[in-house]
Order: sequence, then structure tokens, then C-alpha cells
Amino acid sequence: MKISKKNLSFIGLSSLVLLTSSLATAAEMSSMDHSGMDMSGDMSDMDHSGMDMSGMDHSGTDMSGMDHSGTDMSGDMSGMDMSGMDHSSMDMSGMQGGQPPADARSPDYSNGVPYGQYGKPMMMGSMPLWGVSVDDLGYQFDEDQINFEATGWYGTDSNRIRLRTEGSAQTKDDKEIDSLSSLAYWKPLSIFWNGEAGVAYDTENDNAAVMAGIVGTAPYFIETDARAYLYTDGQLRLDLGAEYEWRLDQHWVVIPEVGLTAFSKDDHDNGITKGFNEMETEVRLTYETFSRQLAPYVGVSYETALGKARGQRRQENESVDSSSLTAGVKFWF
Amino acid sequence: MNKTMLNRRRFLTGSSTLLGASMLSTLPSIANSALGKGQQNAAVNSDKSDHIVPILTGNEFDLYVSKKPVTVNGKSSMATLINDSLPAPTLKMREGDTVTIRVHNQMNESTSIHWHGLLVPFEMDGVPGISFDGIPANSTFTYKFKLKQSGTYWYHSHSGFQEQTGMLGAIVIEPKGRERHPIEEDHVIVLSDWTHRDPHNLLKLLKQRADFDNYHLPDFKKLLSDIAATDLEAAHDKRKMWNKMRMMPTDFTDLSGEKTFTYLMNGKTTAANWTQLVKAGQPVKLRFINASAQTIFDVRIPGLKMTVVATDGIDVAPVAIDDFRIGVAETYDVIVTPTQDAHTIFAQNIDRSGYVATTLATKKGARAVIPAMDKIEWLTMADMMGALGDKGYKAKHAKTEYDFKSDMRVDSPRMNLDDPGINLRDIDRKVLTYDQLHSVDEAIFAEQRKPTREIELHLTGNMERYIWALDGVMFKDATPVNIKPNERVRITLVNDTMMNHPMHLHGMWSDLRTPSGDFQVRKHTIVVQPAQKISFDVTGEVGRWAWHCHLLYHMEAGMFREVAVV
Repeated sequence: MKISKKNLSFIGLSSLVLLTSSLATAAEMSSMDHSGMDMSGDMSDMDHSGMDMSGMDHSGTDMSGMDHSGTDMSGDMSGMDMSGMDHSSMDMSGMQGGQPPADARSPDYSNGVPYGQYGKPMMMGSMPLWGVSVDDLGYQFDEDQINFEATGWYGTDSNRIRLRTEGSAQTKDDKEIDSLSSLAYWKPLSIFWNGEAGVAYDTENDNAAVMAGIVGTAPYFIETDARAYLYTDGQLRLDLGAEYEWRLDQHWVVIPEVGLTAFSKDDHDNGITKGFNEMETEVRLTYETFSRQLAPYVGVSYETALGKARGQRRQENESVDSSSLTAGVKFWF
Repeated sequence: MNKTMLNRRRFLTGSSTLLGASMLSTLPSIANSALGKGQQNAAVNSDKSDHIVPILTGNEFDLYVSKKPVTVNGKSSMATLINDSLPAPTLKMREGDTVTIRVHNQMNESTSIHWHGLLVPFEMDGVPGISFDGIPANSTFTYKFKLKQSGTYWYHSHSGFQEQTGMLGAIVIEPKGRERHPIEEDHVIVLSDWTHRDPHNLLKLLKQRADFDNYHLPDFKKLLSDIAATDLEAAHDKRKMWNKMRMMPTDFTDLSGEKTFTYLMNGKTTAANWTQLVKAGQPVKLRFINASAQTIFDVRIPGLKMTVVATDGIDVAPVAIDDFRIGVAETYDVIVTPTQDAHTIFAQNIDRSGYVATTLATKKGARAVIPAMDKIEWLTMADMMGALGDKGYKAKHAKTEYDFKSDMRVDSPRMNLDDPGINLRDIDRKVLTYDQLHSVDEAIFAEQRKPTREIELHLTGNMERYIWALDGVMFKDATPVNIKPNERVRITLVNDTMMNHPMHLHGMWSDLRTPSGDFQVRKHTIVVQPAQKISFDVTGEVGRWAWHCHLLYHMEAGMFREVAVV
């Protein structure tokens, strides 16, 4: 079986995802720390052990299956830091994350005294909670399709199960629904980053996958996500996304977002080419209402094929890129 | 008005001891339905001034806890009321008395009452899971304890969110001897925050998006006005640090008056136009109690100097001020001498998204102007980093403060007690600060033994995740803090977060220290400002005691410890 090889490349991809995010965090740390980047300290801030990827081994990382542009992406993410900021007299290094010094004190002042006869009160916040967030439910006019992206979760601050689905439904012609859905275990990795690992199903190529990802907030409040999918046929997919809320006032917000998709190998049946395949961007003007829980929007989307995918689309007489007006809602509860 | 109050008081006292207080609980609803104006079902209409908070006196009390609808801002929703009153009846007791309080739980859920600031045997302290098992549904629990103190205190539920939904009331304990500042007339002013939203859901929403109720988020409008006021570079610099660290410069409160809270004074909205009639030129003592779940208030009475004479039930050397900030669960007794026909008692919340106003009138029907709320400021470098340079305290971080639960650590917190606090720094009026509060009782000074041990704990949080903890450890993962009986311990708190946390230790006094370690003032609840280090000394009182941030949602999120004095 090829399982071991698949695992290897999956591990490689997961590592890359982790690395990408680490780089982003490291880069922001470096900007605060004038002495330079402290990769080791930052990496340790991420709790790798907590993630369900125990088999991960950086030394055995096999990135052969990856297009090299993947590495460029990690560069891009670390580039989110605007270098050259001058903090003059301030030194904010070490205020966030990092690793405790060897002599850090213990938080335990119990002297071994246990809780008493009445036990211990249960705080509401430690009970499992749930949340649903529909980040997009909208119509793409030129494509005649409904786009959707939704996440639901159940769990605590430190452990959650989360269900996610994204895709589109054609409203004309074949009424086809394309979706990529995943069920994952979710865990915080560091102050602003969370890890996910689970299983996924893609209706576009009718294929199941295992997935891992890192989602979080980069400096300047850029919401980023990076997810890798290893399909049963050995195909590897990498989805990268970034989103920013440019707040005009307390209700009107402009949200630019960009998403990139890469694959590890050609798959002509499904119109997939190796490397970065596709870039989707959208700028939405949203109006937050009902306690910011509902935000209708109008937007403009632009989607373009990248790299070899451009050639393939031309060959098949499809357009290389397209743009559309969009309108829809974003809500959470 | 005073006469009818007295009559009512006498009648209520009688009823509570002789006729049985269940009669009492029917009174307000009869009164309401007699008015025959809508909202017949509501036990209390906060928009009208006719509901008078009952005053119960004596040494035996019956409190009936039930779910009843109340009307606030024209909308009704279910509240958790004591004796059908919002706030709960004011309990007037006498120092030295042994009081018996029967709490009748008429709900289908468990409840509890904590006597905030009262030194009682720990089994009487009313914290389910620490001092007793709680009061099960449809049962009665009898509290009995001797009053060892006097002054202004309050009581509230310590179960779930019942405090948010109305279980709060004032306690006034008359001193055995003569008052230090004898004032013929005094009135209780209970501040609270009411929400029609389900508190559980609010906590869930905060966990999902911690800034959803902040209507001071940095925006383009503010950027433009900053550029206009200074220049592009200065405006950019101002934002740089916040953006890089992913912190919020306007993180004053989690839940605001914009969409969540309606603020109440003695259970009344501003619209109720509630008036306390007093005599012109005669000093009156106002006992302010912040019985909110989550709201820090800034209080003033425009045109009147307030002389603060006590805080948290303890007398202080009189200090004349214009404004005071009252953290959740703090109390302040102030003396004012009304001069005009009417004065507005004005309490604006810390983020200026709402206020409540009532009237102190010397002439019936008179009303004074309600002032505009003050402006907000952005939090500063000192709120984030404490003392710049080497002037601060050298914080000793716990090894548990380095993971995802703490979004920031302050290495050199500031120690000064003279900061009025965020949104009060740029105003011209005289604002009370902790360094102006001095206990005066000789007996208290006599108790200021030198501590033999120091316990340092840090107030930590991850704002974006809405995680609140001490030393990065949420209560569910924490061990008790052990103090030996009668041991004198110095507790040092360092606030690693950008929010104010009113910290309350049950069962024993918190003797606040000056930056140099001298005795400042005795309190039961101490507001720790952002990036501030404060120290207070305690003497171990046998029992198990709750210790927590009195912002209810912070407490429920995990900013809580048990102190085991064994």
C-alpha cells in the first residue's frame, strides 16, 4: 500500500502549515524584539504535542510532493509583519507568549490542601458551549451560484469538535452543489492560533480526505487560515486564506479577503493542475446589525486560475478568470 | 413622603415578623395591578417611580426568592426577585445583634445568598460548593450570624447568573455606639445593570466574539479625527502597538449600555424620574452600592461636592470630591448638602455607553439637568506595560502564564494609587483615588501586624478568547490558596490585562497597602487597574472562602479561587 507514502507527504504538508503559521508569529515577535527573530522561543509557544499529529516528525519531512510556490506562501505570511516599525524606547518583547523561564514561580499556593467537604463550584464558563458562524451565505451573480461557508463547534476553551462546510450551489444548469466539509478536533496552539485535525469530504471529486489546519489572528488583526487535505487518492490540497476587517464606523465594515488553493499533483479529470491553482478574492461592504450578529453585504469577487491551471483552462476553452457582484449575509449565534 | 415611608417601614417590619412575609410578596403586585396600566404581570416596573424598595428591620428576616417578570424600558422579562422587589429589600440591622435570615427558595432551581462584606462563619457565607451546598429548589435555608461590624454592605446570589437577573439588595448595619459622622438622614443608592438578554447566552456570545458589544472599536472615522487633530504619522503611531499586539485600546467593558444593559438606580430607569426628597441645607448621607453584575460606574452629583466618609462599610477620613469611580461590589458613603431645588445623581458607566440618573430634590417635582456623559480616551502605554523604565514593581510571573490563556504579561506594573483610571484622567473635576482613602479606626490600625508571607497572583486573560484566570489558571484547573488560621499574609496582585478587575476576597478584610507597603485603607473589594500591582494584607479566618473578580462574567469565565484557611 501507499499509505506510508501518503502519510509522509501529509505529514510534510502539515508541517508546512505549522511552519507557515509559526513563521507568521515569529515574524511579528521579531518586530517587537529588536534583537531579531527568536524562532525557537516562538515555536515552543505552539503546543505541538497537544495536536493530534503525534506522528509528526520534522526531520522526515517530505515536501517533494509540494509545488515550490508553497514555500513562497509561507514567505508571504511572514511578510504580514510590517518591518521597520520603530518602538523607540519601548521594548514589548516578551509580553506575549514565549516560554517560562526556569525560575518562573508556581501558581500553586495550596500547601497540599485539597478542596473541602462541599467540593468545588462549577463556573458557567467551564461548561461546554457551542457556536455557529455562517461567514458567508451569498449570491454570486455572474456565476449564478450561491456560495456558503459555515462553521459550528461544541466544546470548551481548550478542546472543541468543529464542523465546517464551504462550497457553492449552482442555481442554473446542472444545479450542482460543490462542497468541502470537514469534522475536526480543535485546540488552541498559542495566544492567537488554533489547530485543527480531522476528516473531510469533497463532493467536487467525490473523495474523502484527512485534514489538518491552523487558523488564527495575525498581527494587524488579519484573520488567516491554512488547511491541508490529503485525499484517499494521494492528492494533497492546501487552502490558504486571509481576511481583514476595515472598520469604517461602528456598523459599516469593508472586508477584503483572499483565498489560494494548491494541489500536489495533476488531476485532469477534475481540472486540477499541480501547484497553485486558483486565487479567489472578494471585497465586501457589510453592515453589522442585531448586536453585530447579522451583517448583510454587497461585494465584488474576482477569481483567477494560477500557473499551469491557466493553460489548462484556455485549452478547455474556459475563461481564465472571472469577476462578479455578490450579495448575501454573514451571521453568527 | 418621609412620613409615608416611615409608616410603610413600620408596617413592613411588622409583617415580616408577625404576619409572615409571604403577605409582603403580594403587596407590590397588588399595587401594580391597582394601577391597572399594562404590564399587569410584571412584579416591578422599573420605568415608573412608584415601586418603593421595602426596608426590613429587626433581627429576623424572611426572604422569598422567586422568578417574576419585571418591566424595564417598556419590555418585560423574567427576573429572579427577592420579596418581589428589584432591588431586593434593604435589610437594616444593628451591630452586635445575632440575625436570623430565612431564605425561602420558591424556584425550581437552586439558589444562595452571599452577605457581601460581612464577616460571618464560613458556613453562613453563602457560596455553593465552598461554604455550603446551596439552597435547593423549593426549600428554606436559615442563615444565622452575629453582626461584628457596621456600615453599608449588600447581599446577592452566588449561584449562576441570578445576581444579574435581580438578586441583589442593600444591607445597612447601624453601629452599636455613635456614628463617626452622625447624619440625621441617610438613603441607600443601589446601582445595577439590567439586561433582557439571557446571561448564559451573553457569555457564549463573548466567547465567540469578545468585542461584539464594544461600540468604541477603532474605526476609520476615529482615524480621520485623529489625523485632523494631529497628523497622519501620529495617528498611525497611536495604532501601531495595538495592531501589532492584537490588543484593543478601548477595552473598557465587555458588555455595554449600547445594546445589552439598562442601568438602574434603586431599581429605576432614568425614565422613571425617581426622586428622593430631602431638606435644603441639611446634610444627607447617601450610601452608594454598586450591585451590578458587570458594570463599573462613575458617579457624580453636578453642583454638589461629595464628602466620602466610608468605603466598603469602613469609615475613612472625610475627603471632598466631585466624582468617584465605584467598582462592582464596592460601596461608598458620601455626605452631601443639597442647596438647589433639585440635583441629579448621575452614574455613567465606565465606557460611556450609558448612564442612569435620579433626582435629589428639596422641592417636590423639581428636576435638574442631566449632564452629558464624558468622553472616552484610549488606553495608554501605562495601561499596557505599567511603569516605564525601572520604576515599576518587578513582577514574578507564574510558569502557567505563557500559554494561550494569557494574551499578555506585564513585567513592571505600576504601583501608584493616584490614578483616577481610564476615561477619568482628562477631566477637570476632582476624582477620588485610592490614595485619598484613609481608614481612621484605631482598632483597624492595631490589627496591622507585619505579614509573615507574601502570595503573588496575577490577573490574566485572553481577551479575544474571553478566557479569564489567575496566573493563567482557570478556576476549574486550580488548587485552593492555603492560608493558616490567624496567619497574616500579604497578597500581591498584578493585573496583566487591560481591564479593571474588582477583586473580592470573602470572609476577611483586605487591608490595602500604599506603594511603599504602609497601610492605606481597609476594604472588601479592591479594583485593580490595568497593568497595576496592588498589595493588601489579610488575616486568615478559619474556613473556606471564595476569592474572585466581581465582574460576574469574568468570574464565570474562571477568574476565581478558593482560599482555604485551615
